[in-house]
Amino acid sequence: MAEGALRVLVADDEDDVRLLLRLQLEALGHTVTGEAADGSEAIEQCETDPPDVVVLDLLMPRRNGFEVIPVLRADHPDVAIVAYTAVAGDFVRNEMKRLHVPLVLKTANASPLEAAMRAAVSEVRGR
Amino acid sequence: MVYAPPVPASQTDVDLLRRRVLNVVGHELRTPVTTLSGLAHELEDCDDAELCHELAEAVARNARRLDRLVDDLLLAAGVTTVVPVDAPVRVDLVALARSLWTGPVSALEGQATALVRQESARRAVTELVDNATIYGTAPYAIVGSETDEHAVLEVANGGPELSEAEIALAAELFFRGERAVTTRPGLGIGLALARTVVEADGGSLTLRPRPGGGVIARLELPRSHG
Repeated sequence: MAEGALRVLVADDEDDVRLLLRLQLEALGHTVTGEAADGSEAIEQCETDPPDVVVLDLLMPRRNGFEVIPVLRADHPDVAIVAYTAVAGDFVRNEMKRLHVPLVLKTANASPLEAAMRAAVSEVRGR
Repeated sequence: MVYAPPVPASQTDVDLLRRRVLNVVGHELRTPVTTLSGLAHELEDCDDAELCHELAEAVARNARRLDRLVDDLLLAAGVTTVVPVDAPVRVDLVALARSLWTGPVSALEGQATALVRQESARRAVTELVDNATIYGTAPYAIVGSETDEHAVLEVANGGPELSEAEIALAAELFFRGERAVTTRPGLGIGLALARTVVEADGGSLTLRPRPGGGVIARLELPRSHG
């Protein structure tokens, strides 16, 4: 794996969002370790193959992103989390701030997401 | 019991409602728009035939999603030009519901043949099935019946006990229940739009509590006597 490349788990219930993120992140040199279509799958995949960072959609069936964050924090403190959402109202912004999870709005350009991923991983590794 | 949906009481309430509506519309627009844009960029750089095909299918899927979203928003705004205009045909509502249902059904019985525009029936029954399977729990039941004038389809699902007021809210435009808000994107207009299209065909859509918990959605459409 190239230096600086991250191992990323993509958790989003939309097939096409996962497809796009996989292509974009791999084009940037990262490795997508898995794709999860809901919060429970995300937790399961972190158990079997912990990534460097989870790109986490917040609105997902079974377990939503809000429920996944405390589980990952407790069980996998070395895994960074970036919340990735279509819109962020006051509740989402405040909640992510409280949980200290970086929040990125969905865009066609993966650069903001990659920057947030790197910052989140650096912070986890620096603890 | 007659339930009157809450009417905004003040400018603050109106502003809150406006923000809520724009928030859900923005959410529903942003995902397919940004996905389309990103997919188009990937397609430009694509040199693998299989991947190109997969990307093209994804582009088409998201374009259809946006097309449907525009129709839904126009309907929600009361613009009835998007109500289907095809001629009424005989539609077996029970068979239609079963064809749209992907999971187990504990009861599937009766008959209900309506004279209705195919697209209206498909739209309404799809919303009933989606609502039951996404937000309800087992046992599920699909029951058809006929009166002199109407073909009746009832779709029932289990779930928590809800009051008539709570159930009436589910069919209000842009209303989303707590479970829906935290687990799925969506505009919260499916049942309201289903009601709009069936009323345009002389039908009705009502919801009532299911004894023991859950919801029974009842669709009445003009009966086919042919």
